[in-house]
Amino acid sequence: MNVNVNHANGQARLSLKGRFDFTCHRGFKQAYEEAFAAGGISEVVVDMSEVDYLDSSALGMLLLLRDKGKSLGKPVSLANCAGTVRDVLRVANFDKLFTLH
Amino acid sequence: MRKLPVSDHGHGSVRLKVLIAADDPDNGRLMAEIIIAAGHRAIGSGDGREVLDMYERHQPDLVLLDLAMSGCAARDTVSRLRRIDPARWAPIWFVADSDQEHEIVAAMSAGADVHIPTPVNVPVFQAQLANLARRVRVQHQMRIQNAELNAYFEASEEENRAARDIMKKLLQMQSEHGAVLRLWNSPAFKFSGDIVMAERSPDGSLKVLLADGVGHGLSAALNVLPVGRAFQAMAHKGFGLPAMVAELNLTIRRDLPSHRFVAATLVNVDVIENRIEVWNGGNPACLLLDRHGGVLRRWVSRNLPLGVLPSEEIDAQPECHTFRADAQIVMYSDGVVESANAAGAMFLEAGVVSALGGASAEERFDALKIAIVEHLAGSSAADDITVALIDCAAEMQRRTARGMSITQPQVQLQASTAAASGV
Repeated sequence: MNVNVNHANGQARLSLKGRFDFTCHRGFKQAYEEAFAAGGISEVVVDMSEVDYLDSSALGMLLLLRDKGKSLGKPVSLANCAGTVRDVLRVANFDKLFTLH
Repeated sequence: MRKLPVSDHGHGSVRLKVLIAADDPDNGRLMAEIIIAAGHRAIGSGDGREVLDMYERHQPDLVLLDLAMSGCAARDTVSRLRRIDPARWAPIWFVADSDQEHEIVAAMSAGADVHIPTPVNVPVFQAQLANLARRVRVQHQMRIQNAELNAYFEASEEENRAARDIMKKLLQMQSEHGAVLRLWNSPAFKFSGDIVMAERSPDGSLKVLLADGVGHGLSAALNVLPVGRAFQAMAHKGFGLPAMVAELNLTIRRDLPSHRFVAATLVNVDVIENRIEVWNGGNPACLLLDRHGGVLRRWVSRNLPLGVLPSEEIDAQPECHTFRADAQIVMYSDGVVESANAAGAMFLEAGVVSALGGASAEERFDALKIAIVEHLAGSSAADDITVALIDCAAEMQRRTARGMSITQPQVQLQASTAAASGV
């Protein structure tokens, strides 16, 4: 999986591409820590538009990100969840934890 | 682990052990001198027959054949050398006049690697030896690494075996649950992160848990372990689903690292109270089927998986349905839904529903199993696959047998014993 981080207008946008699974742990963590470390960020958006698949480990990583955001007072939301990604999030009821755009 | 002998010769090379077979002793001595001068070791042998014995005894890094004998004998020696222990391969260099075209071709086709033309060009020959020494060093290193990998692999396999045995004992995953519960679990890796457990409460109601730990393999299996144990204890003590949900959630949050959550479906089948209760947190829909395999009800996941939220934030109330003696309850993990064939097509709930609807009640469980295996068509599943089917008719029968055994103990004794040995 590829992670691209963009900063604009106080928002850090993590754009993910490919399979989001247990192999992505390190890369994903590194990406969001960089995003939080950048100054002037008030929220984090994870763009899922190019994610083909996510497994339960990916859900665990999203929870870690959410907790990190919570502790820093910077909300995390998920954008462009469709198809399989939306189904997996819905079965896990993650819409109760994250704002889905 | 046994260390393989590597004599480092500096400059990133090793000291080669060269076996020389020369039928002219003077030529043999000359070659040995050149080899020793370059810092390597030379072992001499006389004719072609002797070289085979010495090859096995000394395990050289290189064989140098300087055989003025007929091409036929040289070729024979080469092919015999090549047949000895193919796993430990050493190059064969064939020393011959450049005009001995026929002999050179024969030796090379039999498996010789390099032709060294005579008269031997000493600096070129020594450079060739140095080149080989570098490659032998890499080969040695690879052999050591291979041996280390093998040792790791064996140790890890041994640990896996031990861990599997411990888990089997702790969770008492029986493959045979009698007629009431049919169960199929196919791990994607060596350990299953899915478990199904069935327990009888003191009031006779049947509690079934399908739990799917985050991730795959051993770490996922470790996640579901405390959940299974807590489930057993709670069921034996006669707790209902709401108390179970809260306790299992607490167990995960207390005993596991954060974010090691567990998707869980809990089912309570209570013939006396005439109801079926289901609580689903993070698993695919649990299905209630009529006698024809049609879907009467879907219990979709209305909750987060266990371990994500504090227990007080969880809605632990199950959804109820009236018990039906002709119904079946089917639970399955997301590994079933996401089973993808070579073309990437997933099985989905539609696959489950279609397989169940096309079979009689008795054959329904096997029909689903077969449909999943046929869908995968040899592709390996990316996630653990688990299917459980609860047969309400069998549960009703078991109940009836028990009830009647109270009023007609002698007549029904056999049936009651048989049922009691099941779940």
